Amino acid sequence: MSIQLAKLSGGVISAEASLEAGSAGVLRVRFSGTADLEAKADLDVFVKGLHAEAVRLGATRVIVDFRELEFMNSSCFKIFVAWLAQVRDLDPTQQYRIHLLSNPNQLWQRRSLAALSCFAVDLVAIET
Amino acid sequence: MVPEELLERFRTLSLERIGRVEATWNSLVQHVAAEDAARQISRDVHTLKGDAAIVGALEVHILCQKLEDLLLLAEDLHYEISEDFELVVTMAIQFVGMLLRKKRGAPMTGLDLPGFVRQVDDVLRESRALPTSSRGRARRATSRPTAQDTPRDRLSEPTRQRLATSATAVFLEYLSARGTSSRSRLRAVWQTLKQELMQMQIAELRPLLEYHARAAADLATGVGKQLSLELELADAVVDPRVAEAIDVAAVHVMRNAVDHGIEPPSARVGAGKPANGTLRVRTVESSGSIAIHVEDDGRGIDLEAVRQRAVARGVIDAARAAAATEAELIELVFMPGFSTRTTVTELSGRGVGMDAVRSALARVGGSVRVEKRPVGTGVTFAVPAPVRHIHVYQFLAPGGAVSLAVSARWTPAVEQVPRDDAVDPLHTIQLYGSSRQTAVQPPSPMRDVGLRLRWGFLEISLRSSTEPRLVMAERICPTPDDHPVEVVSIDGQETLLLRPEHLSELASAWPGRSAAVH
Repeated sequence: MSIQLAKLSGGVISAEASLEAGSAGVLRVRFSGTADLEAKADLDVFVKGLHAEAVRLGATRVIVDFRELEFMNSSCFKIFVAWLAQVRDLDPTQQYRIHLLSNPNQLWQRRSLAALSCFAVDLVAIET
Repeated sequence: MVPEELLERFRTLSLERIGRVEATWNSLVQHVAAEDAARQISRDVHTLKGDAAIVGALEVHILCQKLEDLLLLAEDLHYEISEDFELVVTMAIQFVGMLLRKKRGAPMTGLDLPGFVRQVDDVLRESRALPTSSRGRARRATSRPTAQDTPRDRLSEPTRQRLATSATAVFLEYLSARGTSSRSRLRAVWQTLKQELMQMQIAELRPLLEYHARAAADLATGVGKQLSLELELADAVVDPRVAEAIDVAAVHVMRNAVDHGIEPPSARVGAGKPANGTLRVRTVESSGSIAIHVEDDGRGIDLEAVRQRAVARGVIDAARAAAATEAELIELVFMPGFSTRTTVTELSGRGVGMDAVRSALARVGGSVRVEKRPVGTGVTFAVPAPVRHIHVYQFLAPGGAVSLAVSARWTPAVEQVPRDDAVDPLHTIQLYGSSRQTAVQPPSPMRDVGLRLRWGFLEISLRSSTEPRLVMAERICPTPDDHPVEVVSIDGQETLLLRPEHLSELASAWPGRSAAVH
């Protein structure tokens, strides 16, 4: 099985998803750049695609690496809120956990990721 | 237990409201908001909070309380706020939306409301603690959104008008169809659409007011007060937009009665009143309008407190306040942000209330009046009665098979012989065709009379088979004023109301039905 999700690149934000080597059912996605209004449309498509792939592949965990992401505005955060809602709405057998990898040096991540996790505390974990 | 249909109505209206809150918030932080946007967003959140309390949606109520705190601080900061601040407001709006979409009784699995509220409180604390000069942020260079998210209004006037336009097209197809089967099928479709549209045009007042009155009684119980209801409600109907305005007005006025008016049982007994307070709601219909009276037997408006608050807020000076009449003091309660409360309670006290009532009613052509009664307070809102009937000139189309009408704004003059440029209206709306396709056939022009219609500088001649008569028509499928045709009912008979001034636009109204005005 391989992941069928085009890399997000060429704009202000980049993102790439891959299957975690040696860990069955684990997807890893790395974000870098800036998630602002300019990135919103592309990011929306990418995250929807990521969810579809996670369901298709029967993922048990998706690791979201925000460590290289310099900034995310509230519009883009809404995309992640919507994603969490989608995962929560899945049948429990299809739900997957989401691990957010954060960078303590990126101050914007401190509150925003904690607030984001409140939308699905049973599914989201934050790792630094 | 709140009935499911009322809960559904709460959800629907609240989702529209929270959509509007989101769009307004976006415009405020982008500094592209309309002048009264800050007031509008406060009203929306305040109303949503009140509605949530009434239907027992505690989580929504709590979040709205936090949203109000955030919005007040944001306004103080002129919307020069930190990224964290903007984020928690946006997320709070999302959280409310998520709670509203949650099915009744569904568990809060995974939603950590206390955790989220802590995040909001942290942001509020940090933002208040910052020195004024550091509160604002250097906003990131972001491109302005190309399109704002706009709330979807399922019952908006434009939507209803679009549906009416489509239904009218079906009616014309029915008129021109040949063959019993086609005609009866199209007739059935038209009837269904017509019924749906008629339902959309009216909202019953009685259930709406009963709901708010009962909710007020529940609310009173929740705060340790006793409330008896006296309802004298006529079977009146109003336009849905008017119903929405009444919805806003009723929630504020009845909540005010419970919070400010009705005293706790011990205080009432001490004042020589029955322990039970009374809320009386009655409707009175008169020509062209409907009045809704909401009266309580509580402590009444504290005019002295209004006077002192007005002076303290610098609204009027002490000398003017001392000389102010009762009516002038009552008028002050309609000022934006005015409240005699010095503390904010869960029910009210933020000064967002009567201002919202007046604005909501004014938007639909209504008004509100408050009076201090010998015992308690009386609030009356007057709203326009729905305009369903209009005067028209009715006549029969050439051939006599189709009933037509034009608005009585036009002045008709009959000519026994039509002018050469007289238009056959059925030809214009393409009800004729080959004998295989259509039921309506062109008549012999020899039997026509001419109808010269004048309205201001406009003049048009139509062919008719009868002289016009002035009658009353019921609007059963209202299309926009600039649409060429509408179906009305005259004595129970469906009639095509023509708008001669727009007949030439028929082609653009329905691409398949080209116009032929000469």
